Amino acid sequence: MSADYLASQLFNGLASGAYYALLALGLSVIFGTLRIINFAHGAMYMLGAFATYYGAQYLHLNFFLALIAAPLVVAALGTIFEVVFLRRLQGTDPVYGLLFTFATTLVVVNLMRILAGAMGSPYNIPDALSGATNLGFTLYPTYKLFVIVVSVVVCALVWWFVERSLLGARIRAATENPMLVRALGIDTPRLITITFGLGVAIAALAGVLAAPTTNVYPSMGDDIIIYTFAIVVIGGLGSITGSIVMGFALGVLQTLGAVWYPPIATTLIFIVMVIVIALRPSGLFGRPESG
Amino acid sequence: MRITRIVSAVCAALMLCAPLSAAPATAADTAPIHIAVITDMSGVYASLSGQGAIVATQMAVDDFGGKVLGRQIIVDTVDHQNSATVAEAKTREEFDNGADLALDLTNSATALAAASVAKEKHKLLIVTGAASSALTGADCNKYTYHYAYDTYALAHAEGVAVAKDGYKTWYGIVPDYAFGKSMLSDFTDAIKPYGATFVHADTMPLGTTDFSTYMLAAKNAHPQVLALLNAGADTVNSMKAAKEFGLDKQMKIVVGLFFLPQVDTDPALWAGAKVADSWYWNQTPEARKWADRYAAKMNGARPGSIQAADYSATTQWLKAVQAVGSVDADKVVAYLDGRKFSDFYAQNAEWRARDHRVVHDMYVYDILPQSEVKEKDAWYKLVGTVPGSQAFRPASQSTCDKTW
Repeated sequence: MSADYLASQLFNGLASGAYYALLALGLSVIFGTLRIINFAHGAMYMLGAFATYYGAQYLHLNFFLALIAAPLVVAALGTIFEVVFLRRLQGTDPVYGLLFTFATTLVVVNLMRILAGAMGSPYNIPDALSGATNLGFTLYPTYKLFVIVVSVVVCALVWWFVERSLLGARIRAATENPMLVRALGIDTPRLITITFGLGVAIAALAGVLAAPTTNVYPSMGDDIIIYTFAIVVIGGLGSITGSIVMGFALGVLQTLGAVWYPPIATTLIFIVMVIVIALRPSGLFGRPESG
Repeated sequence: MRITRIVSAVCAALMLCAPLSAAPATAADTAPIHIAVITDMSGVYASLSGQGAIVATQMAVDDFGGKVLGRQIIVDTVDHQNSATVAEAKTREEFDNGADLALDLTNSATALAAASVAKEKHKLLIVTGAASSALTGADCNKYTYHYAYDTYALAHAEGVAVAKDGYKTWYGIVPDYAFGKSMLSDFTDAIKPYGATFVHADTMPLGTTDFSTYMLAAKNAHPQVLALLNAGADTVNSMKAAKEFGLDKQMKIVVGLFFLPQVDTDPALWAGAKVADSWYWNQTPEARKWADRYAAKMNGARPGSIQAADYSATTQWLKAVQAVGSVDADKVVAYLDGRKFSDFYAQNAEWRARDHRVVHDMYVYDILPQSEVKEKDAWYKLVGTVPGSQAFRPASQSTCDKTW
């Protein structure tokens, strides 16, 4: 097995990690503020992909515009969903949120199945990103490189926004102590809505990026969301850094695992999860839950 | 005294049983005949079978006059939801409620589940939608016929067609479940006589979303053929990944299991691929004539091979019922076993008595690029016909442990 080959596979790992990181990040952002385990995250990823497909179909929206427009559209739907439904679940047991978002997923996925059919719709890699780029040691599909770059940039921006910006500080404060933050004259519910919209937008962005590499089909979110949940648990529930780092790391681990022994590829993440839960229940980057 | 008691008990028993055994006999003579189409109505295979299967079966019933043995024929629709558990429960329910024939069963897991019920209930099942050759192999039984195609036939139609052209080194992409393993072993056997072998086969879980690892590995192995031995969304996603890594320019890509409606999802992706199937709507004038009637009922959509097989199987069954004067599965099986026929779907066909495989010609098609397609859904070009005796596992090699 040559070094070039392993290096190419490493890039494959980073590319699949790029999706995991974005999805896990969105999930963490939402859990961090709303304390809701958003099972509908996979459906939002799927809707992002469908928004891209329908945008191209009916509005001739090109891929690069879809990268911005589709997450905005899905985020708008997400905020309505938060204001109308999720808000009412605040303060209840997290199980209610999980069940409610799971039910929503079933409804949305099946609606899309009626609308678009189960087999899915095609979406191709834009011409500007098709073909291969010479990385020095190998030719690698340009589109996959693009996915890695977009994911890294978005993850860095979101990390900075939540951990370093003033609005991010307010959001974190609102999570810690909503009453106190409200007493300081800050509109907490609006902050939460914004954050939820942000999480949804990131999931939809991952969907846009996925559209050209797979068919756009209603159950596409179901296939990936399970891994994402495992990654979030490994990284630490609600930990932004943990989600990003473990998203990429586990993408690479899964790919290299597949090179070594394909049948283990999809199990590997869960093996890691079991070990992490056994040794460090709050996740690699998480702080132990207080209370 | 003791004897009196026994005699009266027997009398009582007879009195209790008499009306029970008599009632169904009279009811059955006038009650409608039920055909249960058990298939995927809402999931991934719905466009390959689903509503079209119901329409095709109903067409067969209508063409037969809507009646057989003076009794009305009713077509029941059952959604198996791609779950073996649901399929088993629903098949049982249908048979218990008087279904005389269960049909379709697209998805191998559901077909195997339904076959076990047919065996137990002594009711007839004709599988048109599932691929697993186990239905006429390890899991064969008296009351189950496998009608349309199977993994062995796909391998021996398509694998042979490609291996004959001198493609020696193959690389397999195989989903890690019964269907994938069966495809791999059948393809391996099929290409062997032509000096072709699998240099490597990667197995991955069903529903793998990222195939790039395997595509890169395949590219690195420099085979002459990349064989996608998967189904549904896996086939689409692996084909996309293969093209992304430029594999289509370096080697021939063989798609193991493919159905016409799938072309519509991405014509550019499939153009140039070679596929095997049991039927194509535009291959003969008779096929086309039937397809036109079907399209008129389905908003212009053309039928796939499973739907055509449903029509054909229903018609053949109704003819058998007519001939034997009964819907009794044992009598119908006795009539069908060894019987030869040809219709617009099945050419040179035989209800093989040895293992209940229905043997008929199989075909190899090239998928045309959009520019060469003259009318809607006319994606295929027939490039080869494989006689049933070569396409299906010979009776002499059958692995069916025949106990009936």
